[in-house]
Amino acid sequence: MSEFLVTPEDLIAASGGLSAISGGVEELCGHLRGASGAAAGTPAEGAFEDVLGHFSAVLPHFALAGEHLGRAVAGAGAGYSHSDVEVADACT
Amino acid sequence: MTLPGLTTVSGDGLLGESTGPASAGWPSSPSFGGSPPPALPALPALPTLPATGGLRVGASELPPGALGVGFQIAPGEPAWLSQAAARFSATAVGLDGFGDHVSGTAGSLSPSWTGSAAASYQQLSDIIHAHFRAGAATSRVAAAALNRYSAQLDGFKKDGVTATREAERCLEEIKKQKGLLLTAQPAATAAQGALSAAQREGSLLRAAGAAGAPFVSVADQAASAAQGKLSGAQTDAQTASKALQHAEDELRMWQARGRRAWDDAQSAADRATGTLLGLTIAPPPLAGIAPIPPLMTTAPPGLLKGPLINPGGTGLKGITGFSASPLAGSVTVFNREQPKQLSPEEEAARAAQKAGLPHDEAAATRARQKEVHNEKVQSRTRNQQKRQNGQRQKPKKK
Repeated sequence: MSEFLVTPEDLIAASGGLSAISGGVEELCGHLRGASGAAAGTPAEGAFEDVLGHFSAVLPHFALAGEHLGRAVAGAGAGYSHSDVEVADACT
Repeated sequence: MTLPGLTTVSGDGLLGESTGPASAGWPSSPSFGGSPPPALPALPALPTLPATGGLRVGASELPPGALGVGFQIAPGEPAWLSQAAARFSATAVGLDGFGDHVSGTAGSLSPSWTGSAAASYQQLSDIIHAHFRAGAATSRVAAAALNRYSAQLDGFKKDGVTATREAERCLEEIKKQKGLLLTAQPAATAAQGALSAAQREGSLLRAAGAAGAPFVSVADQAASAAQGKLSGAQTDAQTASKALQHAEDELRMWQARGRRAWDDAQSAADRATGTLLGLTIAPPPLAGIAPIPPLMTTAPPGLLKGPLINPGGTGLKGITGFSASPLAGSVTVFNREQPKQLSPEEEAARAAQKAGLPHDEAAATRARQKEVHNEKVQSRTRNQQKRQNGQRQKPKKK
């Protein structure tokens, strides 16, 4: 039997901070991309640009992870609130 | 620095648009039933690179005559590498901070949210936190490699500049001494001629007996003067020859140092390449997307302590999917393994994973690149050794 305790408002409040991670990570990613060309002319240029490209490709997933987690928590909070109201309405 | 589109949470839990600077623009830590989560970290100050987007090191950057001295200064700009390292360090700090925020938020919600969905959320938060931490660790490794390469390259470039300057000085000295030699040699030849003529004249006058006697002393004086000139010219030629030899020896020494600085810079670049090619970061799982593709990270061992994504699923034991359903308003967790038909790529990835091989395409590509790089390094090392052996065993010119 399922048993749970929840304060939906806390979930909704927390989701904002989690979703905001996305913007911060994207900003980091942009700054990192700006380092392109730093190893120009050296034998390490290829590897440097490669790792930079890899980070640039994967970091947006980190941004998405924060955004999705925030959205999931917000959805859960909204869903709990909605269910609470619906059940309350049904009982009156 | 403003972060547009960020939402902030006011004290009464209502959502609003952020309008302040980054430090104030991050969502303020909401007050929950438990302890508040840590505030999102302020992004560290990042260095700026010139807008050209890259520095091409060419002959124009080399000191004058660098190519004429028989070697080149190692290419690359240490300051730029150092700045790139600072950006990777900043990324590491940022990722750590965001990961801590995920973890802190989960911790702050734990008293006011319990149950099955809450447990899944806590687990997913742990996994995401671990991914952020792994990404930060990998970023730090990149920063360290770049910092090391930057410092080494800086030293080798300075060695190269010194060697170039000294080699150019030697070339000037060689030119000067060759000039002196060219002047001294004809003077010696002329003095030798004058001496021979005076000696011959003296001999003839002596043979003439009494008739030549008054002129013998004049001829002897001329011979003596010619001898003095010859000695002076010969001394000048010997001095110039010695100085020339010394300058040539010195030039060879500085050329060897210059080439060694170049080789050492190449080796430092090889080491940096080896480290950078080995770095991969794994994307964290996304809530609401199932199943999460299994990925591995190559972040150095020992830096990671927490769990990463669990192969074959979301990283949650026995959970194949974790989805948010905005319509239902709840977080849904699938608690049963669903039999799934795997594509050939997924089968290959799973097989590779069982064998302990990197199985995402990017990691596989990078692994192949690393193999090619290692072969190149070995080949270069062999060539360097051959060159050095050749120099040692070079037979003397007869």
